[in-house]
Amino acid sequence: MLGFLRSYFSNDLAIDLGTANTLIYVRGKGIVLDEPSVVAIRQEGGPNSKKTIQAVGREAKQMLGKTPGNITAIRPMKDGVIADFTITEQMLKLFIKKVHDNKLFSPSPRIIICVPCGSTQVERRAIRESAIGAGSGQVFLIEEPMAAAIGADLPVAEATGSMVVDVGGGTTEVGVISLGGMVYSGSVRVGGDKFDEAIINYIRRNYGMLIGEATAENIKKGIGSAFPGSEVREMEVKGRNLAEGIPRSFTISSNEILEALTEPLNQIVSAVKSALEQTPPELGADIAEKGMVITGGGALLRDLDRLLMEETGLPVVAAEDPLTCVVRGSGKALEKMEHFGPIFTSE
Amino acid sequence: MTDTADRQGAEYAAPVEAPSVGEALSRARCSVGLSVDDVALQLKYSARQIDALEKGRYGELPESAFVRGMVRNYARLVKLDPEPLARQIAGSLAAPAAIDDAVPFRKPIPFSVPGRHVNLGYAVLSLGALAVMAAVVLWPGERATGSKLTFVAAGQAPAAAPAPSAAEGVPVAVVGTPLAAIAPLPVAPEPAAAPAAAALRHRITLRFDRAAWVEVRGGDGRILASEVNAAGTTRVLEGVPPFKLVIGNSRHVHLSYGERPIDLARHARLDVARLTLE
Repeated sequence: MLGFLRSYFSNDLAIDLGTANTLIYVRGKGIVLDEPSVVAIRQEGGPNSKKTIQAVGREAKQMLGKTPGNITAIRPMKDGVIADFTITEQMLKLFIKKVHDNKLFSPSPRIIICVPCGSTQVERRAIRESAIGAGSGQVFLIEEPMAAAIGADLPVAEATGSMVVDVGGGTTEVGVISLGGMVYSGSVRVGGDKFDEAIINYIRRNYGMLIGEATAENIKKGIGSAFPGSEVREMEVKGRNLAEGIPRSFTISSNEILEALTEPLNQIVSAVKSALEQTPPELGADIAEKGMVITGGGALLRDLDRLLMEETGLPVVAAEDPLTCVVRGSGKALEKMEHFGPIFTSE
Repeated sequence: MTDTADRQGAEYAAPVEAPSVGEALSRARCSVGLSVDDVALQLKYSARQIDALEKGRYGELPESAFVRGMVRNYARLVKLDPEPLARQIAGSLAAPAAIDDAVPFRKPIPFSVPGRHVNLGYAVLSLGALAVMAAVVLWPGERATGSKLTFVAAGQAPAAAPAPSAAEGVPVAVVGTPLAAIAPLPVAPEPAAAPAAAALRHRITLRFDRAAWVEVRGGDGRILASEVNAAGTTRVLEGVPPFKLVIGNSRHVHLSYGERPIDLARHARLDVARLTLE
């Protein structure tokens, strides 16, 4: 009874609970929240004292790597799934509260939440439970490639093959979709985070310098490239020299970053090739005619489409606004929940 | 599809100030010294698709989302700003089909189980047939009940008051006979010396104007007659009531129970009379 009343006063939500960013789409309003999936926890007076949330989202991200002893900035999602259940639940609760205007009733919305197609039953259940713990009345799960394809306006319901490659923060999802269902889905735990890690390791190995995750991300966004182009870009980077122990600055080029990213990029290429190998020939022919679509933050990496194009020999297009494709697709599914019933996945 | 493409192509070819997307891309391609084949090789499309894009034959191209991506990639290759061109072409392309009409998202038709097929027409017909059968069975039954009640009342009336001796005779009720037709049959009293069994026996007389089939079953379950009787004959049967009679060609048969004539027309259906004499 109370649940019914609460759901009457709550708006339904679609959530892209990503490793790097969490996006929330509210039914009838559109995307209302786009924040990094980071929580800053404050712990006062020893290890057994009470923990409090210092900041969440953008504010907490700015604290990453810059916190004093009593504050820890945590990224509760890792490789597309929950790494810290409690913190994820708290983060979701705060985000949901943020998007609800109604202060009188605590929200109890219906939620569509994205899960990686390679996630296990336990991982999916953890995501569902955390959403329920955050106050959701009913939780529906949707696989990320399907959401990404709907968000990219691909003809998912038609009897034609559509291939989508969603390069997210923690995972890369490859899906071949036809007639409203996944014909093939594959997932590798390589994404933006692995790119950052590869850059950190490359600089430590080749320059003897230690840089933080935020700096690595800036390098990736600034001069990161997936395919050798005609234009070579350079960037000045500051880090701590491992030998001297003193902060130093140095200049790194896009070709070096390309070299650093070779290994994670090869894993993505392998996942795409594997998907193509296992796609039924009729759908493969459709993909060869139309090409594949890349979505997710990884699609913003310069020339990633070019790399996949050269490696597969097929047309590759980057989706419009690739960062929000998954949440937009989930939002579309939310708006037409009655029609999209079959696409939701069970545990 | 082709019509739409032609229409779009025609609209596209209409004299407008700004060049179309295809024209802009084609010009830019020529300015950087690339052929259609070069572009097709670089973007991994077929030359046919590149040509269709340049000439505005959108019906030959894949869905809108793919074409917008294709235009962006082409524009980047020939050093044009991709976004305005992608926006421009989005307006020229057919909007994606509504997802509501899509086959996979329509209400599914349940898998029918062989042998358990339920057809509404058959169900209605069956119900109708049942209703007719119920009417046939219940309607005469109701009349019979009425007759019996009437008969009991008629039979008891003489017992309550001093009555003529005829009223004490064995009462006869004709099942299925309407109220008006029912009257206690005055039967002559049996001789006192007659055995009790003989007192229980009753006589049925059947006279045939034409050949007719008759089946008479006595109260003891014995079949008294079951045969075709020739025209002009008379048949007299004796037995223990109640008698169940089935008389074919009933219009040409005259029935008397004891001395009392029975009108068969009241019990006949399709010229076959079915009645019970008690």
